[in-house]
Amino acid sequence: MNYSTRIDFMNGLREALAKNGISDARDILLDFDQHFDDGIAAGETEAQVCEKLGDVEEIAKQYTSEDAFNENAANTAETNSTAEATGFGGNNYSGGYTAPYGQPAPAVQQSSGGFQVDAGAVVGRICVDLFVFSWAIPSLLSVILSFYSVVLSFGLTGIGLITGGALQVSGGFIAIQSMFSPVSTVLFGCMLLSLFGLLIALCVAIGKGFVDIIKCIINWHSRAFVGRDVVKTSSMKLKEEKAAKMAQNVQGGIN
Amino acid sequence: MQSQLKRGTLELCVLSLLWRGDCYGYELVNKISDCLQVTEGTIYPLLKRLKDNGSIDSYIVESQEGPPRKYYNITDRGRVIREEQETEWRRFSAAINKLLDGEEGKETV
Repeated sequence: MNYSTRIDFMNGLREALAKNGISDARDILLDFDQHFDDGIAAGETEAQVCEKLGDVEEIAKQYTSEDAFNENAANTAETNSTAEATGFGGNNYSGGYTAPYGQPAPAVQQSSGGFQVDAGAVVGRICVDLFVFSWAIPSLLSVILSFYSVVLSFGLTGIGLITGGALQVSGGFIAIQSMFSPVSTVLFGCMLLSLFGLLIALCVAIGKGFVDIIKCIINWHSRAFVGRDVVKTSSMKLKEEKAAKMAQNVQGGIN
Repeated sequence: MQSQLKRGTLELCVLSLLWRGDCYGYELVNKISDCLQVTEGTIYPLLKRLKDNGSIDSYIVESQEGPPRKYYNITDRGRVIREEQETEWRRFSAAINKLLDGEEGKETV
């Protein structure tokens, strides 16, 4: 629907954005508000500005579909990494919405052909490496390893207490003297074991985090020497999965 | 068809204008609608999309008269994309022109 006054247009746009589930409507509305200010300052009437801006429904829709399709285009371009120069044709185009161009593969480093090693970057990295490998990594490792051993001791003590308690109950071969009752000994052992289970999960997470840190360091170096990332960190993988899923949804929407 | 073609090239137009110099929204919209017949409102979603993918950025400039204004500028990534799209566009339009002019030989059609 077309409007002829500023207030009506802004209200219409606000409603249309809400209807299309646009979250950051405030910024969008500010942009249009400023457009009206500038248009009127340039001597246009409100009705003229409204007419040139067009249909609020169409505008609001573009804030949704364009986003999704853009993700799709970016994703396809990244998968065929050296994005085909002739992006015309392809599924982007038949999708009907996006540019005839796929979103070209990102970042300067990607065009690896003309990559040059920057001496400053290399020297900088060597200096940081001296610090990282002589101090940061070893101390981080020692903290992690001591944490691991504490967790391991929880597990072992738990098992020990449970077997100890059980032997006491059954009055087995070994007579064990304890100031606690066998039941409380076993229960305490169980508690330690479950704590051990929880901490193991934490250990795995910490381990993954550490591997990621190492991967980031490797990538940081590879960017300086060969101009691109050589290993995938978990956050990169997550991003790719998300993009792939999004592309799938969009494809589904088209077909 | 016409709108699809326009939509695709609009991105290149915006990037090229911002590549020549920073603009505020109304200014940019007007520069485009001076050359192309577009529904002006659709340029703002495009600007947001370009900003979201890191091709352009925006900053606020306080002004003496009136409220502060939002200016757009192109980023390094945007420059790379612009250049790639320009090459692509030139290659594409040259090919189409060639086809339209019939240099390929009419009998093959």
